[in-house]
Order: sequence, then structure tokens, then C-alpha cells
Amino acid sequence: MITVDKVSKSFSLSRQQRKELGADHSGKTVNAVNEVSFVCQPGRIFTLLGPNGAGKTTTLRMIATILKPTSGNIIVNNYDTVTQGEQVRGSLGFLTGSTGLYDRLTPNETIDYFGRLNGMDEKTLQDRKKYLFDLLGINEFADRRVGKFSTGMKQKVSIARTMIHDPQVVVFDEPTSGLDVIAAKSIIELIRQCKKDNKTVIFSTHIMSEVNMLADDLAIIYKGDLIYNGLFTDFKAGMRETTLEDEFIRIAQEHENVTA
Amino acid sequence: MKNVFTIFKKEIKDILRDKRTLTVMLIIPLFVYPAIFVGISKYVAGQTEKAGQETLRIAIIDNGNANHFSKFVAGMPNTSIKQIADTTSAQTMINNDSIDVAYYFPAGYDSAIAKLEPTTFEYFYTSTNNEFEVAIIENLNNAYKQQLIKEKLEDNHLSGTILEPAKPVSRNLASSREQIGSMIGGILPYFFIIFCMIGCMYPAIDLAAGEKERGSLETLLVSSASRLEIYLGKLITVTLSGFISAMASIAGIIMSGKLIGADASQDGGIAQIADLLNGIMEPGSIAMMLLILLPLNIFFAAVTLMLSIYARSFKEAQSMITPLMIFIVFPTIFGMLPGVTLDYGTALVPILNVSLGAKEIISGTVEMGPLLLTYLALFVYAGIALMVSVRFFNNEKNILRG
Repeated sequence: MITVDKVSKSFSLSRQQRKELGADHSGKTVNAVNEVSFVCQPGRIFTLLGPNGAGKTTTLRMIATILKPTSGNIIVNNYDTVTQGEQVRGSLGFLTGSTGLYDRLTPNETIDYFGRLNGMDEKTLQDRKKYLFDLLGINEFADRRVGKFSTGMKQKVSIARTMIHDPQVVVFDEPTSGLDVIAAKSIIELIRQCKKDNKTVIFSTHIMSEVNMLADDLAIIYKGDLIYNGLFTDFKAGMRETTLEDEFIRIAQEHENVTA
Repeated sequence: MKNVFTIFKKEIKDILRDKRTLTVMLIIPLFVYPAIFVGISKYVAGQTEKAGQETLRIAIIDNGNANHFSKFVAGMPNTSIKQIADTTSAQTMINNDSIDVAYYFPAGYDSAIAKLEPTTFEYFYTSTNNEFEVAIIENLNNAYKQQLIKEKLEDNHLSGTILEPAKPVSRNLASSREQIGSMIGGILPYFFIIFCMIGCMYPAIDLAAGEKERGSLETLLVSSASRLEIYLGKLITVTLSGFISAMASIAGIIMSGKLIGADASQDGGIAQIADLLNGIMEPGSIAMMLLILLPLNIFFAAVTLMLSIYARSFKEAQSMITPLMIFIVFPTIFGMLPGVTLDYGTALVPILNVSLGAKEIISGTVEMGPLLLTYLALFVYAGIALMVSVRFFNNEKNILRG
């Protein structure tokens, strides 16, 4: 389970960045996320929807302990992300669309590396690796260097890398961005499998069709503010527009008018 | 600590598979000394041999003199003489390389010599010709002068000792290692300080900025390993890599000593250099040198990693780290200047202290006080660089700057 409680994150701006933002911006900091709260339950897919620059990645990075919240707190599997970072990371898998691998290592070596870093004992690591390699069809290229792999092959290795320590919480940050249809499908299937395995899943996207396919719970984030948080079925039932895209734009516009 | 070792093991494996880093880290430092020393010794030997075989082509414009000089030259080996008419044709012949030197004797030269009156003669040559040829001409002139003096002394029934009643004989107490060491001792640390840096540079760029650019750093940060463990794993790798580079260059020195030592019998100077190179390899000198290299490497590794983690990309890291070479080359070259020695002041100046310390270890003239202060200063600087570097790595702004 993930509990995000009134979490904000602000970044200090360099002189150059202040200049680029122009006269609209006052102050030396910018708020990427403002007092965001939500809960992700095990066995459900929590979808974080928002346009580019809305604060999705910042939120997910705070959950994954890469960033520290400026205020508020986040509890992952009963561990605090700030004070118990190591325990949080031990029970968490993280996959993004831009994740890179080590070109000069083989899938076998890559998975061993991350398994060991996540504190797995050798027997469990090898058993789990065999299971994932069989499942994803990695065996035939398990001992070749990653550098010359196709995007699809790399994606499979990335998935194995994320799931090697069988994490209870899995964070997907725009996992399908830059992938072709086949590679994207393998990610969608992975997310569904995680739900079946009763894992807590949070995934961010700006693609409406993915929301439609996967979301159990939906949160919409816009300019750092959470402007919707509830069941996806409720969201659909309450739609005033005919398509998800139009409804999203309507809500965002409404929020703009309120804050203006 | 287990995670630090896991990261270190993976990074080393990664580096060993990178041909570019491996070449810069190992192959170049290993072969640069043999290439330089063997190359120079072969060249010098070759030139000396060539000079010994060459004939000096002399032209004489005698203006009716009875050829006092011609008779002298006729008795010298490896010379050929021809008579020519004037200095204009001498210049043309020198320019088109049909002669090496032309001598012009004014009318009445022989009679002036006979009467012991002051006179001059001129010789034409090109100073930009090879140095051996110029030296042969100088030797010829000196020998002719000595011959004239000898003849005149004999004519006047005087002994040669009148020119040098007492001859000072020098007895230099400095060992040949000290003498050669003070001359070339500065060049050796120059190379291994540079190789320490180069050995750190490429892995540091690859392990931080490179990892950022490839998008694998974020993944690493989400593993159970703490940031300090990740940092230490990388730091140890970079330090070891710089150390290996420096060691490879020292191995290159040993190789050079052995290689040029094999044909050292040919030339006294080269034999002394071979002696020096072999002399450096005493266990005591090696231990003192390694003790200097360790903190220097940690210092370089911490600084390069710090800049690399700050950089957005491989390219940016390269453009930030490469100019550091100036700050390394300058004090190192300063340490090579004569008269600059390791004392309690210079021992505190980073890099200069390494350059001077190593130079004096090589020539065997090091004093323990300033050397101990050098070690202390280096460990303190390495500690400071390490602390700043860890802070940099822990700063989320630097890690995610991209």
C-alpha cells in the first residue's frame, strides 16, 4: 500500500531558470507538487494522469525515495520514504519509459547485479531469474551483451530487472513512452499481472487509452495540483463530455478558471 | 559494505569490457615510456653512428695562400677538400648542399701566421644543418687552433704548460643517480601524475555522467543500496583505475630500463639513464612512490566524480573535466624547474608536492620531514575532496540534473 499525505515538492531555481520563466514567475522556487494526497491499494491499479510537466514524475520519484518531499509524508508498505528509504526501496520496483541498461553487460549479469543490490540470497535470485527469463523469453539471448539488442529485447530485460526481487509495490512512470505497439503491450500485460498478484501498482501516463484499459483508481494531476481523485468507474459515470480527452480538458480548464 | 563490493565488481567488469577506456587506462601508460626512452636512445645511437661515417665536405677559397689550413685538413679523417674561386659560389654550393662548409682566407694569411701577426679567416655554413655536422665543424676549428698554438709554441721553444700551468680536476661527489635524477627525474612524475588523472577521468565520466545519460542511474538509486554505498563503489573503481594507470606507467619505466639497459654499452649517457631507471625500482623507492600515489588518486577520483555527477551528459562532463589538466600540468612542470625543491612550504601545495616528492625519491635525495608533510597534506586534501564529493552525490539536484 502507498499513502501519500499532503505532499509538496518545490525546487529552487537558478538565475537562468528564473530568467527563462519570465515576469510571470516571482520568487526563487517553483512548486512542482502542491499538497497532494492519495492512497494506492494492493490488487488495484492506481493511475496518475496528467500532461507533461504536471508533476507526475516528481510524485513518483518521491514515492521511490529518489526525491525527498519538501513537506508532507509518504508511507510505502508501512515504511516512511524519508527515514526508512532502504526498506522502501527493498519492496519497490521502478520502471520508466526512459530506463537504460548497461550495454556491456548481459541480461544474466544485469539481473544478478540488481538482485544482489536488493539483498536477495543467491538461491532465491537464481530461481526467480529462471522464472522471469522463462516467462519473458529471455533465455535465448541471456548471455549476449545488451548493447546490440532491439528495443523489445531491452524492454524485456528492464521488466525482469524491475521484478527480480518480487516487489510488493510497483511504480511505472510513463512506461510505454517511446515503445512500439508490441513492446508497449508487454508492459500493459505486466501491469495487469501485477494486479492479479495482488501487488500495489501505481502508473503514470498522459495516454487516455491506457487509462481506459487499466485504471481502477484515477488521480488527475495538473500543474502540481490534484484535481481529481476517485474510482475510475465514478469518473466515467460523471463525465459531461463524450470522450476521456475532452473530459480531461474540461476539468483542467475548470481548474484554471478557479485558480485564476 | 556488501553492496559497495557488488557495485565495484560490476563497474570493474564494465570497464574491462570497454576497449576505449582500457586503451587509455592501461595500454598507453604501459608503452609510452618504452616508446620514449627506447626511441630516443635508438635515435641518438643512430645519429652518432651516422655522424661517424659521414664525410665533411670542405671548400677553400685560398686567395693565393700556401694552404696552411689545407695541409692541416688533409691529415684529418672523413674530410674532403676542393678549391673554389669566391664566397658567392660558396654560398650557392652550401645552399644546394654540394658542400658542408667553406673557408675563406684573406690575401697574406700565411705570411701573417708566419710573422705572428693578428689575422682572421671566415667560414660559411648553415647553423640549421644537423647538430652533428655543426659540432664537427666546431671541432675542426678548435683542432686547427690548437695546432697553430702548438706550432707557435714550438717555434718559440716554449712548453705547452705555459697556457695552463695548473689544471683543475673535478671530483663530483653526487652519485650518477643524483646527477641524472636531478636532470630527468622531473619528467617521470610528470607522466605518472598525468596518467593518474587520465586513468581516473574516463571511468569517472562513464560511471556518473554516462550512467545519467543512459538512464540507468535512476534505476540504481531505486535499488536497496544506499547513495553512500553507490558512491563508494564508484569511487573505489575510479581510484583503482587511476592507480592501475600510474602502475602501468611505472611498469613501463621498468621495461624501458631493461630494454635500453640491454644496449647500454654503446653510450655512456644512455647507460646512466638505464642505471637510474633500474635504481628507481628499489623496494624503498616504490613503497614511497605508492604512498604518494594513493591519496593523489583518491583526490583525483573524488574531484572527477564530483564534476561528472553534476554534468548533464557525457559530453558536458568531458568539457568540465578536461580543463582540469591545466591545473595538473602547470604545477607538475613547475616542479621540474631547477632549484624548486620539496620543503615545508612546497609540501603543502597539492600536485606540486607530488611532483617534487616523486622527483626527489627518484634521484634519492628526499628528506623525510617534508615528505611526511606531503603525505599528510595529500591525505587531508583527499579527505576534503571526498567529503565535498559525497555531499554532491547526496544532493538530489545534482543527481537529477539533466
